[in-house]
Amino acid sequence: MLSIKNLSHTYPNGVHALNDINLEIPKGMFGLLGPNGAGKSSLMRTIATLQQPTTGSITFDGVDILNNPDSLRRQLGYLPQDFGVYPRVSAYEMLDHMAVLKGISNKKERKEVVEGLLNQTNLFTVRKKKLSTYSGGMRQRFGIAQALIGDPKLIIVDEPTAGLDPEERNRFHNLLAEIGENVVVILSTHIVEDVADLCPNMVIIEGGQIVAGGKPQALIDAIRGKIWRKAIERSELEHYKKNTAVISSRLSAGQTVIHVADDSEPGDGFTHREPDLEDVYFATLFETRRDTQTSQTAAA
Amino acid sequence: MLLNIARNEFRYMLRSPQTYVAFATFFLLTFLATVNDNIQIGAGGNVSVNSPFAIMQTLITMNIFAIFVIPAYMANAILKDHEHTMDGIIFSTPITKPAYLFGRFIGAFAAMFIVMAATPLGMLVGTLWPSVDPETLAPTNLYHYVYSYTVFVGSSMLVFSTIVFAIATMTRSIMYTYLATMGFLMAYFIASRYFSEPEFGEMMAIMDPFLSRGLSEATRYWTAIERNTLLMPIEDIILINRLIWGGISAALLAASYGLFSFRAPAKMKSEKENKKASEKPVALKAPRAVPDSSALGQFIMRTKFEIGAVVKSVPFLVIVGFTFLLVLSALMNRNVGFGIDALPVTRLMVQGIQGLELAFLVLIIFYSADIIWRERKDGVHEIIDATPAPSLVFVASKMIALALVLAIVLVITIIMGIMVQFMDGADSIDMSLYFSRGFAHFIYPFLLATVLAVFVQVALKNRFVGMMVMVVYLIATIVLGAFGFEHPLYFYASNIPTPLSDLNGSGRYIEADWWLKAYWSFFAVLLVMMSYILWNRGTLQPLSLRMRRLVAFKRPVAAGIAAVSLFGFVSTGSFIFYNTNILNQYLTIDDLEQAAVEYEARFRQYENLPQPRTVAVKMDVDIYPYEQRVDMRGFHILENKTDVAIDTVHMVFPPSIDEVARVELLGGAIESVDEDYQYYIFALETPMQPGDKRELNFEIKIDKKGFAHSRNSVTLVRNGTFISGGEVAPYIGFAPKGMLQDRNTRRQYGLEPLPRTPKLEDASQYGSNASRQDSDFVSFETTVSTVGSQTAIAPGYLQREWQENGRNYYHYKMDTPIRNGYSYLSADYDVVHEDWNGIAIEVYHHAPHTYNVGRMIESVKDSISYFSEAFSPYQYKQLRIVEFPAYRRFAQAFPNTVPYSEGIGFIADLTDEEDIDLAYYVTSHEVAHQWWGHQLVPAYTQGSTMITEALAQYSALLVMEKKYGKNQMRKFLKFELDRYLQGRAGDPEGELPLYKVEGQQYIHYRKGSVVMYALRDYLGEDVVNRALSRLLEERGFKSDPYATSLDLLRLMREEAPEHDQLITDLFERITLFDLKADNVNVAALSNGQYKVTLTVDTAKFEADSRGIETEVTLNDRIDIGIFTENPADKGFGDENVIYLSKHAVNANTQTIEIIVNKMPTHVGIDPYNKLIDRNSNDNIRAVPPEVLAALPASEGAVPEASSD
Repeated sequence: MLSIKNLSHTYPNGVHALNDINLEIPKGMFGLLGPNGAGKSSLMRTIATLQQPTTGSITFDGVDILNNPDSLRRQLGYLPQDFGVYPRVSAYEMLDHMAVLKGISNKKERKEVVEGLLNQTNLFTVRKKKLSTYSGGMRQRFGIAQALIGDPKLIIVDEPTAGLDPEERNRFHNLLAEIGENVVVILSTHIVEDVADLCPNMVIIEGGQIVAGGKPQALIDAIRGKIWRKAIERSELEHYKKNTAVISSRLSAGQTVIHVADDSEPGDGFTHREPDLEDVYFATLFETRRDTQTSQTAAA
Repeated sequence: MLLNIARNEFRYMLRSPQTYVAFATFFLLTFLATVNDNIQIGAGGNVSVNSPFAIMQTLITMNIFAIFVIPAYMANAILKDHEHTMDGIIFSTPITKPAYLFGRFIGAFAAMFIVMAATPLGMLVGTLWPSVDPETLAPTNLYHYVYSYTVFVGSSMLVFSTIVFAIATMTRSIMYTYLATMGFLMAYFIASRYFSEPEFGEMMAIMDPFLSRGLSEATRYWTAIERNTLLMPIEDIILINRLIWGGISAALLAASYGLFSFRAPAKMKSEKENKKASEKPVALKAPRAVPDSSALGQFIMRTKFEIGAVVKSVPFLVIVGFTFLLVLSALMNRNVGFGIDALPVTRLMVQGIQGLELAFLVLIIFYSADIIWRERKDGVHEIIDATPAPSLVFVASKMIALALVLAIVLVITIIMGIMVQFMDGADSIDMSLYFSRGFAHFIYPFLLATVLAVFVQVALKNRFVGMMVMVVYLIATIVLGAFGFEHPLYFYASNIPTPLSDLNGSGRYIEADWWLKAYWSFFAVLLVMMSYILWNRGTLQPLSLRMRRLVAFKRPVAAGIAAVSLFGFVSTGSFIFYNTNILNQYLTIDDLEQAAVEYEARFRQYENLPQPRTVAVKMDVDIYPYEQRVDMRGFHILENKTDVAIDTVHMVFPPSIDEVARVELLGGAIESVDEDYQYYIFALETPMQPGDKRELNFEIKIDKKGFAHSRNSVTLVRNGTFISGGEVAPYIGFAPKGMLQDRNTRRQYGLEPLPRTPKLEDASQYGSNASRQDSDFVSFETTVSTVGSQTAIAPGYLQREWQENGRNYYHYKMDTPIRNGYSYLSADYDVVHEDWNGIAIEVYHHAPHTYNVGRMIESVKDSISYFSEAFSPYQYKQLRIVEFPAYRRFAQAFPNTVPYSEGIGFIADLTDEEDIDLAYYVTSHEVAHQWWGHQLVPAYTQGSTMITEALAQYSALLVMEKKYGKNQMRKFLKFELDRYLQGRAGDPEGELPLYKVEGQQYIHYRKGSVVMYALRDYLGEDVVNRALSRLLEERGFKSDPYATSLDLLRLMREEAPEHDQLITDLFERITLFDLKADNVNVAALSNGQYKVTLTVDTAKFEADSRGIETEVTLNDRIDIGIFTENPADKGFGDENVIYLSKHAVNANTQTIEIIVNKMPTHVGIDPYNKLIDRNSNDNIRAVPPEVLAALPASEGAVPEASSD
């Protein structure tokens, strides 16, 4: 459905935000996982026609969207990572406003769409409140409501669950899963669980490049048997970082638990770890960073 | 602790961004005002640019605008912790409240005081700038700057700081603080406007917190020398003012302290109860709605949304509310002089509406930024920009919304204008004028400006930069003209001046202006397209990147529109260029000055060449008002009145002439012609011997084509042509008027100053008259023709009137010789005709202007009847008043003909009986010129305008007094005295005594009235009139020599030898009195009478031309008056005068005792202000209430005592 070829973007200050991205995104939920500053939002904005890339092409359903942005905008639902609201405007008014801009000119039809979406996002009872008084979760739900106006074929949600409490997040996931059946939904996030829960396809992006991609299960399978775990003292962390490939460390009941990537068992009290997507993510990031460092060292 | 906080606050504030902005702004403001000759605050004339007065005036004026800076410091000082939510941290430290509060106050104030020193600094640096004319500068005196800044500005700033600080403490909101400040400023401007009349001077001087009015009142009559040397002392009203505001400040500071608390009460968030919470949605799940595309619907919705966002915003309401008040007061105050308002004709309403200009510019600059950046500012741009609504919807809706906001404001203002017309009793409301000039033509340039502002905001990446660019553009349009860039083709949204008149409507000016508007509209279309193409959706991209999108111009529709616009732009531009530069000459002010300099260089050598004079004038004039054309054929006779033979005759045609088709001087051949100046030199075959006469025949044309970029003729218009003889006939010899006159401009070109007039003692000029030195009395005959719908008028009696080829012809002839000055008027007139004692009185007026015609006719009758009796018989059998358009505002007397501007008497609102009858006064003054100026012609020396104008004022005063009584005169003379005293300071060459006046209006009109009225008071009307009538007998209709002011003074002295000293004081010196009623006491006598004891303070001064005064011995007879009402009050009449008589007063006189029959309430020395007194308000003193209370019953109880 959505095809991205050789997409690169360099900001005027010289930062390479996107570096030769190639992607084929089919129908359904698609996860875009990466740390903060990896270029996710740049990619999202570029697909959403809000930013002109330096080079490359994007087609949706065979249509070149860089040259025909309006054809995509007609089928697009976009929830930016961070958005504001007009002051003194209620949720209902704003959705109605958006519905007009999305081209729903029939008044009755618009009323149905707006009220239906308010109901679906559980905002109907607070529809007349000013958006500026909404809590983070309410605002995020409003964001998804506006993205869904006009039955979009491509939905882009950028960091949608940041700042949501677990219950809100669940509800949000359900809503997305429901929509994601028939259209393309690109979910950009730095939270591994979001992707793990929702997406049949995904890529990991770092430093403006796609560093891994595929079906989550396949990615997990690929590292099965190569991840090892050990509980250590905090003071030992530096030692292990120097001598083994520590991909992640976290605290668990007062002890530091490290995960190490190694093709063979490292011994030394390490136990086998059944990998999950998070391990895939960290292992990938670890490798990417090590490669970059090596190449930089080499270059130096 | 306090000092520490103050020091920290001082450093913080000094480094904050507003410091740079405020410093740069105020530095530049005063710097530019000082460097530019066209902007003068306080200076001008003999007053130096850096005189203490100019310094005080500049600093105090700028300080009014500084009120916008004060909240940035003072409110910020107390609110910044709150705004940055640092209050929790700060307030929990062991800081004390006084240390915190006063430390912040002192620190912030100190920082602001340092920053605002940019104002004196800018001025100081400006005076050191090399481009400033050193002649206009005095030596730099730093003390003047320091004193003015610290004492006046500093104290006002402190007052406002406490006000702002208190408001900020109370409201805890920077916005409310700004609003309150704006509200205060608004109230200030409105009060200043409403109480601008002199009678409110003292009250306003005491109340004005900025000291602006205080300065103007305290220095009202300061002469140039005083303005150049003195600083305003802190005494009297200024002291009271500072004490009052000091008290208010102290109280506010105490209040702030009392109200401030570290523990701010938690705010309860109020949210309205949602009553319909239980309501169910129409659809539980959104149906599949397939977007169609309705750009029109989107556009309408967006436009409504943007308008709503603007009109609901607070600054909009403040600006518009403020402006409405200003415009309303402009609509209601239509002052035409002497405190009289004009009738509310639609033309004046339309002019009043133009007061919206500034507000419109502010709205455009501010809201173009607001509206364009709204989505980004609110953070909704990514959502909105990802919708399929086309960019054109956004750009167009924003532009149109801004335009509609302006239109809404304008329509409301027009409705206000109509309401004012209803309230003030207008008899017709011209809706089409409201539409064409009030609405369409007025708003158009602002629509163009809106397009530009939107384009600038779209193109630039920063809204503040965009706003600055617009401000620079506006300043450039104002300032660049002064640098010689005048052409409207390169100033976006420029215009050609379009003056308005009731007679001539918008004339052909507006047609020229619409061409220019069309030209810029085509350009604006391109700007709109660029704005749309460059419109930034999503992430903000640099302009260089967005420029690539301009390839969109290649698309057929865009390319088509762009091509049409470009074609329209170029072709209308070419048409305008053809008009302004080919059909007309494009001459800037500098070019015109240069031409005058060149004229002087080429021809001044002939200045003193003996030349013949014109003795007979015959003109055939055909006026084509709709073609901007006048054809003239002249038959003049020249006579050699010198005692030498003349072999060359020079003549120069006025620059208003476009073509000299033929000039023939009998027996002369053209020796040379200078085409640039139409300067002809004829060589005579046989020289003209003394007494010889020669015929001069010429044929000339005024043939204006199209329109010029500015200075389009206001004399030759479609309805209301008014051309004077000087514009249609040659001047014999070198015409001195063609030279640069202004001494400062002359200095810029390295030319010596010209004397304004020859000296009074210069007897060689006694044989030349003041108005034209190339002719004496002439016989005058003319035919004039005009279009069939108009009447053409020229001096003389109508001999014959006929029609030919659909045109009206008139043959006028004067039966006696006249001064060589005449005029042609042509318009569609209504005529009111009245035969009175064998004199035909006629008023030719624009049909609707009937309001004051009756008063004019009455004034003509009263004037002719009085002047004929008192001075000499009226020389004509006719007097015509002829209205002309308001492009010029004066009335002018020609023989038996008085052109009279529609802008003064015709539409003055004279319904109030108490008001001065302006129409009656002006008419009487012009009728008096039939004597003073036409019977008696002054010589070309100093004092000539005393003979024409001061005597005409005197004559009109007498006629007015007969009709309206002495008390009206008191009012009139108070205006005259005030304008005389104010005029003294602004005279670029210094004041002269009345008998040597050099055409200075404040002397010959204003002082002339006061002096002549006093003279009559002392000498008696009969004595003065006898002297005047002898003057007419001696010099009337005589040209060899003409009359001088010396003749008048000689006759006055002959008639009243005992008043020799008085005549010297009034006419030959600049005499000023300082008379003051210090104290008054009244005691009841046993016989029912009252003994009034008046203590006075008196002095008399003589001033020189620069205003330096020396005290002289006072020994004069001065009025002492006793009244039962204040003569200044409304309703004061003769019945309120108990006693009025002259007493001998000298320097030793301290008390005056008078016994009267009635109980007095007011006592005064020179109570009617007959003498020139710089403080005319302290001449009358009310009897103190405790004295009145102690007196026995008033005259009501003793009726027999009132038989006075």
